[in-house]
Amino acid sequence: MAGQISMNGDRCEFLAPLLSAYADDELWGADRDRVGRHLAECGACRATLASYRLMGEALRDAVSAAPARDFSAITWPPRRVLTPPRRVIYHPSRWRDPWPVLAGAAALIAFLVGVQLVRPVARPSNTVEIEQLDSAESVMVIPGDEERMTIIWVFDAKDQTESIGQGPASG
Amino acid sequence: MVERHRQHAYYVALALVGHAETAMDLTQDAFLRAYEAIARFRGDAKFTTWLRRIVTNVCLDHLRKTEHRTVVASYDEQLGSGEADPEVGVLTSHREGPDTDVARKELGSAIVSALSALTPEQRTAFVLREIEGLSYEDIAKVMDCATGTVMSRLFYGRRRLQALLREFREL
Repeated sequence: MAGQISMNGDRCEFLAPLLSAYADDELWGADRDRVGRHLAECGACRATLASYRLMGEALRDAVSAAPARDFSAITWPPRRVLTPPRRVIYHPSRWRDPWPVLAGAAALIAFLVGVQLVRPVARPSNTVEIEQLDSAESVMVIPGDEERMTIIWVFDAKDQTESIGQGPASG
Repeated sequence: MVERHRQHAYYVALALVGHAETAMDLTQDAFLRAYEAIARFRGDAKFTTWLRRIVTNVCLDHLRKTEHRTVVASYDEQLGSGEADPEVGVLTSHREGPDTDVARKELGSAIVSALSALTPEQRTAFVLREIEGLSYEDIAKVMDCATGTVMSRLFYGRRRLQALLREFREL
């Protein structure tokens, strides 16, 4: 078959890949016509085509002749192992009422902010107490000249006894 | 699901691996995987296609792990380079005669053995075509490749089978 040239000029080897598809009835149009014309003239390719089909038939016969298997004899795992994993799906209905979640988040944020506001300011070292005053601010900065400024730290008198420190600080 | 598809899946596995007990184990394994993955089946493919893909993938995994070619060692020695000779392997002239059935069974057994000489991909394409009767398009879906690739695998697989089975010319 190799190298054989049919009357229409097609070499068998060039048509061989198409012959396999032709055997499976998976060839259409011009290619199918081309192979059909070649087969009408080439006995070797007709034999190859028939052999392709015979191989399929023989395989089907061999496999179907195999004794049927009793699958009931298979030891399947316990039911709990066979249970498919639970699907984790966030159904839209779960988000129809978001207010409890939002309220909880708001409460948490408020708590954290409150803690920051009421937390006493740590007293820095090298401070001098000069007097007690009543101030809502924990730190006051009084600008001086270009190289100096005054920083007043305010502490809770009940907890710290000292309440005001004043001293030079470089800008 | 098992009741409905098991025997056919078993035949496919048997044709792919050529060993009854192994085919049985692989069929069971495939159905277990299908059961565990059924929750992920989204219906964007036919259920049978999805199931075939699992069965063939289980068998392909097995074949790739256990690439044993001992069965066809003698064939390969006869073939030398392993390339098919287009002049041999024409099986069609042996279909007539009193011993046709015997010859056909022997041919079927020889094909099952010779399949192990093919690459797992060629073998799978051949089995899906000949046992399942799938179109090239469906084979491509199961094997996740192009239809042209299916055509190529079938052609080279058949050509190699032809060469391996050339002794049956004298049946």
